[in-house]
Amino acid sequence: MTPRIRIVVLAITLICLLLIVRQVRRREMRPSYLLIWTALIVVIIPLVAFPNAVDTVSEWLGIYYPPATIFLAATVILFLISIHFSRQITRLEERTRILAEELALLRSEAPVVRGDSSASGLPPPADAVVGSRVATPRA
Amino acid sequence: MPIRTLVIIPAFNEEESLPAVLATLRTGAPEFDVLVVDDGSTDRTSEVATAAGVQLARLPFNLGIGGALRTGFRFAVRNGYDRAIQFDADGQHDVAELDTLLAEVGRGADLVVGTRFASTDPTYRPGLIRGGAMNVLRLAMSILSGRHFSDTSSGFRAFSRPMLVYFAHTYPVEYMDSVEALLLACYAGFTVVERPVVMHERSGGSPSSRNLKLVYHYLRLLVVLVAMASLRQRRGARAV
Repeated sequence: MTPRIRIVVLAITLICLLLIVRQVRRREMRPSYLLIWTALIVVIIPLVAFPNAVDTVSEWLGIYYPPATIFLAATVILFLISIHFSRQITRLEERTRILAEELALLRSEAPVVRGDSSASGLPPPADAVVGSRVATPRA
Repeated sequence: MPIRTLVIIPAFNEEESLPAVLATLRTGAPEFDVLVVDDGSTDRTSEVATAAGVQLARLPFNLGIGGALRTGFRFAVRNGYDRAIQFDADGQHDVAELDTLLAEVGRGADLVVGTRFASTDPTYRPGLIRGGAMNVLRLAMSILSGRHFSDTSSGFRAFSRPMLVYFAHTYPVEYMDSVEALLLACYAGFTVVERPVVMHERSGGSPSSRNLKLVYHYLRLLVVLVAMASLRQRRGARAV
């Protein structure tokens, strides 16, 4: 590893770190994600200082081509992160669905509350329904 | 106190066929309350329902049939209905058959499926590939549930109050929801029955399936069913 490539890798890593910190400070990213990404960076920086460590690990794992070790590690880490995100998206989608369903139910109740005090569950009078539709933004 | 029944109609862009369906319900089954769940339609579905004087739950965007149904189940549970029926907005289902399904609920069934294959109506014939795919699905269902179902995808179904309470939170929201729901109900120990009913040609709208998407959902469904079965076995083993 020439000094030049070490400086380039170090610079890229630091720029990434700065970008992440800036996004968290602007509240565009949750602090817990800062942890994931900085943990990655904390792993990369020692590799710049001690590139021989990769050779040692590769030898121990039985990988003949040391860069492949880095690719393997990167693949595994990115894979785990995307699984994590898939789970998060699933959770968010389910919550969005429930919110949409609850909104529909609230809308259906609104005319009964306003127009029909008996609240018997019977269809509200037609004029009450029309009245509520005027009040909703989409109508 | 009289038994209160809710007819749930999930509707997505059904302004053409919905008025006729609501009219037949009004004349054929005036004693039932009707709820139209507008699944984020971009046409005048909501207006049509409002004009007909039925209850309306309008979703802010399209959730698919499963989401619309779950909304209907929640509505039924919260408003104290004793039973509910799922009814199509495109005129496939016959008002005269409502009592056929509800009679089974009266006899203690929790989920009654109106099947079209056992029907006396000779006009319904699925295509070759669709028919084959449905056979595979039927085979998978009979292996996993230990029961035989002649039509797993029917959308003409009646639900008891306990079934509604259970489905209000657990009803599958992805496409081909009815198959998953059938297995879910079997595994949870509900009484599931099939009844042959007459079905009509759809009067409006288009079939909600495109081929490639259908294949994806079909494969997804097979995976989900097997996953459900394996989960259930583990849970059962732990309970013993």
